[in-house]
Amino acid sequence: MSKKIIFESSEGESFEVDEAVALECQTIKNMIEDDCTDGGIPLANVNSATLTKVIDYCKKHVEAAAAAEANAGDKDIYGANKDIELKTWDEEFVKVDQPLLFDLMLAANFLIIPGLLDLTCKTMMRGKTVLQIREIFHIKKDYTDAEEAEVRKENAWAFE
Amino acid sequence: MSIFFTKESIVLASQSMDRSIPLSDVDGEMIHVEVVNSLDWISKLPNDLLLKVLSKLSMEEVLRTSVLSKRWVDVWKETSHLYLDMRRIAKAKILLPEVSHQAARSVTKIIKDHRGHLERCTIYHDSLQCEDGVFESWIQSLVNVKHIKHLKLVNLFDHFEPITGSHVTLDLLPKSFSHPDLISLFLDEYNLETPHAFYSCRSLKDLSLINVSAETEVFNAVLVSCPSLEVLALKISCHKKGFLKIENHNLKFLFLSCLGIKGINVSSPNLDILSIEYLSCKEENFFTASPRLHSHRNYWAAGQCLAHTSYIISCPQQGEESIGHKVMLSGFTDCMKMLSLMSVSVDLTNAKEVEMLRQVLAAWPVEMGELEIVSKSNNDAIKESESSIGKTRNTIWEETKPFPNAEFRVYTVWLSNFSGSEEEFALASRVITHGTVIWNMKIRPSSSSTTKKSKIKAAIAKLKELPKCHNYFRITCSDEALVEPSLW
Repeated sequence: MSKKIIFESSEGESFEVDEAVALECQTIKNMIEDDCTDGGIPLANVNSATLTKVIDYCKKHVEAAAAAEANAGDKDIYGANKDIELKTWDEEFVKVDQPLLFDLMLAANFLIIPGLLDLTCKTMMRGKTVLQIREIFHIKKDYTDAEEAEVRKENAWAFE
Repeated sequence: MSIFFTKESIVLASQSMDRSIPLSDVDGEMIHVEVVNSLDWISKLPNDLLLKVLSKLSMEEVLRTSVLSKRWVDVWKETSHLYLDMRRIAKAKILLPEVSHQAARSVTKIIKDHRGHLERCTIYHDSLQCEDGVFESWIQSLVNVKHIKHLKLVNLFDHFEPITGSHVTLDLLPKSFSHPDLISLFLDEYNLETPHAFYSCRSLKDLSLINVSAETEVFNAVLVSCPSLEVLALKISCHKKGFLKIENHNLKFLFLSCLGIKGINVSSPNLDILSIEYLSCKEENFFTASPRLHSHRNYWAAGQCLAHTSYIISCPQQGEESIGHKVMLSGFTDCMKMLSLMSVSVDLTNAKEVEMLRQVLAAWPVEMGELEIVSKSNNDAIKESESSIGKTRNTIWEETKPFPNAEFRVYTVWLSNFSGSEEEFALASRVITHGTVIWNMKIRPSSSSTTKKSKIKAAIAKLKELPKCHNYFRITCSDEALVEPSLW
């Protein structure tokens, strides 16, 4: 049986995962290597909802990697299609509301999960206008109109 | 962030990124104030995380973040990639002189405003910038001030002389590209009068000279000045007929398309991939001393070299990646797709090598005219990879699904060095039964003993009995004695 790692969310809820899944997080990997994971790992800032998603992501990617490994040798040679399937899965995975997406990005950054960080960063601001970004992230415009016009003028072509 | 964590430090680190405003009280202890969801906490993130978000945006989107709020005004200036296309800046396909100067000023401003580390920069510009010194000042600041790693410069087509297509001369200071941080350089549509901009490019690993013209001796001097090259793509036109000499010892990938040369001498012993689009020289003036690349096909016909690619697949050592393979899977194959002949040397018993073959074929964007698969003989294979990475499974070929995938098609497959082994038979039967190969399978047996000959004969007979997908499909063998007469 594979070794289990226990995460504790900010609400104090425990999540038991396979070591292989926890190893997707570079931060945890270092801790496992340093042998300081006994008794669970408290993640004071990652809430249960976020942690559930993070674990889902890691599980899926561990499974996909294992399947790809098997493919390289024997089973399935639809490698390319598998990649597409995983990509589609990823796209669906980040179709969440903005606060959760943000929490996922922070968790990915903090736990060091490069794939998830990449995925959440990609989804964050792409294809959105300045006004949309301000609204989504509650960014308060602290420029006066004159100041804003001045900043726009700096690289005017990007705003046309 | 430190990579070593104790349980305590993880709690601390996690608290500091909590969605709350950390305040210090008099004792220096952190107090956390829970905040409502409507607070702007993205602006409180450290720049390195914001830059990761920006790295996924277009150049315009990156620049637009500067007006979000005062917090954001300088964030974009630390982005590690700059993509500056003057056509996009000017919102025009053709740049009139006035517009061109203005767009060039925008490029200059962005380069000047950028702060901190710059990894990669791409500039699409106009011929005018080469004439008024602006181009040179960009190179100066990107290479010598910003210590750029990857630089791509494209001179947009000269719209004043579209018929002659005369290139614009790159007039740069000596050693313009010699900075040790510069590892990849891509130049498109220039003329070189001297090689001196390339002097002592000791760190350069990846050089592409696309649509570049110069005298042959200038190209030779450029190549001598870049001793570390691993990837070289030359699509060049030489003014004075001469012998092109490619002697770079570390070269793994070489793409050639050369007009106006008299001959060419390639002596790079470690070459894995040689891709030739066009050579204006005669066969007797084409010399390669790259013993690893041995195709059984003769790619010269009627005095012309046919466009083709030869790839010898070998597993990189653990932890390393094969740089040539990376190029094969990159967008560069778009350049190579016109070259519909390919010869791949592979050990079919090695799972890793078979996977690399699968990747290359699956990434091929169009139908392939001819694919030669050269089985590395067992002796070779042992020599190749003593550690025999990936050589643990014998079950690679047990499955019967299409190889490399359901989409790939090739008109003719050559199986060279064919010994009738299980793996060869499995590959052959798979590409036949799924219709991957359309017209022909040509078998060239390995020169071997009589016992092997009977094995080859049996394998060919079995292949011919397989159900075929294409009416005109035929299997032929270069040694007719190995084919049952009744079957012809």
